[in-house]
Amino acid sequence: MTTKAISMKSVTKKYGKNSAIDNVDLELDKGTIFGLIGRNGAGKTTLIKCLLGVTKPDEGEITIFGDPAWDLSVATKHRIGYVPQNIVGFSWMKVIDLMEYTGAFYDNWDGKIIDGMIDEWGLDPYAKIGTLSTGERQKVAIIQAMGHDPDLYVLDEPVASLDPSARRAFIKKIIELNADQQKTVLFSTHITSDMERMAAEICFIKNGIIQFRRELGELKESIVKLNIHSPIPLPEDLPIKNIISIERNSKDAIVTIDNYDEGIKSKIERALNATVFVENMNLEDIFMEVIK
Amino acid sequence: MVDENMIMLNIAPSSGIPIYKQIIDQVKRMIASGYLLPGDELPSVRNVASRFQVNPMTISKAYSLLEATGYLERQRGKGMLVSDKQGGEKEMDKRINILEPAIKELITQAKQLAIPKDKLKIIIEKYIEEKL
Repeated sequence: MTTKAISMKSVTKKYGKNSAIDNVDLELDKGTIFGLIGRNGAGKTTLIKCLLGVTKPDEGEITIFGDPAWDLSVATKHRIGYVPQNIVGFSWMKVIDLMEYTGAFYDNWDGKIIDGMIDEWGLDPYAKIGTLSTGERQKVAIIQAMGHDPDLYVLDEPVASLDPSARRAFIKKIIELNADQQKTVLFSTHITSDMERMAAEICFIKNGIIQFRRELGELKESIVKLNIHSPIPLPEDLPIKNIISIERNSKDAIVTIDNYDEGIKSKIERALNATVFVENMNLEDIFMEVIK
Repeated sequence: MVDENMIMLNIAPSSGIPIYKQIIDQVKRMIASGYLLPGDELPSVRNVASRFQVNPMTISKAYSLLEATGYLERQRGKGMLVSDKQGGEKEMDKRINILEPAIKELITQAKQLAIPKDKLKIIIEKYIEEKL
């Protein structure tokens, strides 16, 4: 038995000459919540579609629970719950009919989970899909992905259209599924505050390339902003390693660095005879620096 | 600590300070102040995660580190308890350790404001006399 829920090795997908994702390596242990963060068009959706075997990559290998993604067995398919970014179709169906229709594809469909969630999230089971708001439709898609009690949730921008209280209810649900039943979750978002709550580990994706993969706490400890003030002009080359970005004039510099540890501050202060103020950054601040 | 006392935890997920570190600092403070007593039970990882909507592994990490540093003890069937091996002469050191980041921060800011050391000491002394 593999301990990996997901394994992607050297995966590339091109559209024309452009790589939507480029040489992506990504492994996910069972029972983890993993966040994929990137701007619109960074390659998040392509990565997810390749992973689910919806899109065929040009190169590389992908497995889900040890099963090749492009040729998933029915048994493995039934262990996956997918919430797509754009929910289309079925506008003529009532919520309850859509659930019944979906349930027919699965042996282990549990109508009780569905009814419970419809009630909990305040949806009208007899409303037609076409009459629902974008947020309500997103709720329907999430509930629809839960009925067969999947082991792996793949969520592409799952909460983009939900209002704050519905988002929090959704996050709570996912966290409980993970805590109580060790469900694995891969989700993409550009809402960094949701990511900060849900994910244990995240990676940034930019132009189809994975930039950082790190445990969230470690990320916040290692990437910091140094505000450097010196009474005399600073040298051209600053004695600082692992610079992510830098803004400076002659006596002041604001430097974002990676691999920060406590010794670095006093080392720089001594070397430059300057004052260094260390500023912690939240995920949004880090995202802005890493992605630009 | 019974679960309703979880309200005493104040988790800010969007802070630059990692969540696990926020929990560690707060539990240490609650132990140092006597709000949490030796033998008190901490809420389960699951309950903290669900109540604050944060990743359970993050809570586990905080608890494990508190266990490794002797603040908490894992007890079979009961979860995490405040360790009864703390106290004694080390108690004061521990509390000073907790205060250290605030002291460092104060000194940094004093430097930025170009306040001389001697002056800073006098100011602190004055505040201790007046305010406490």
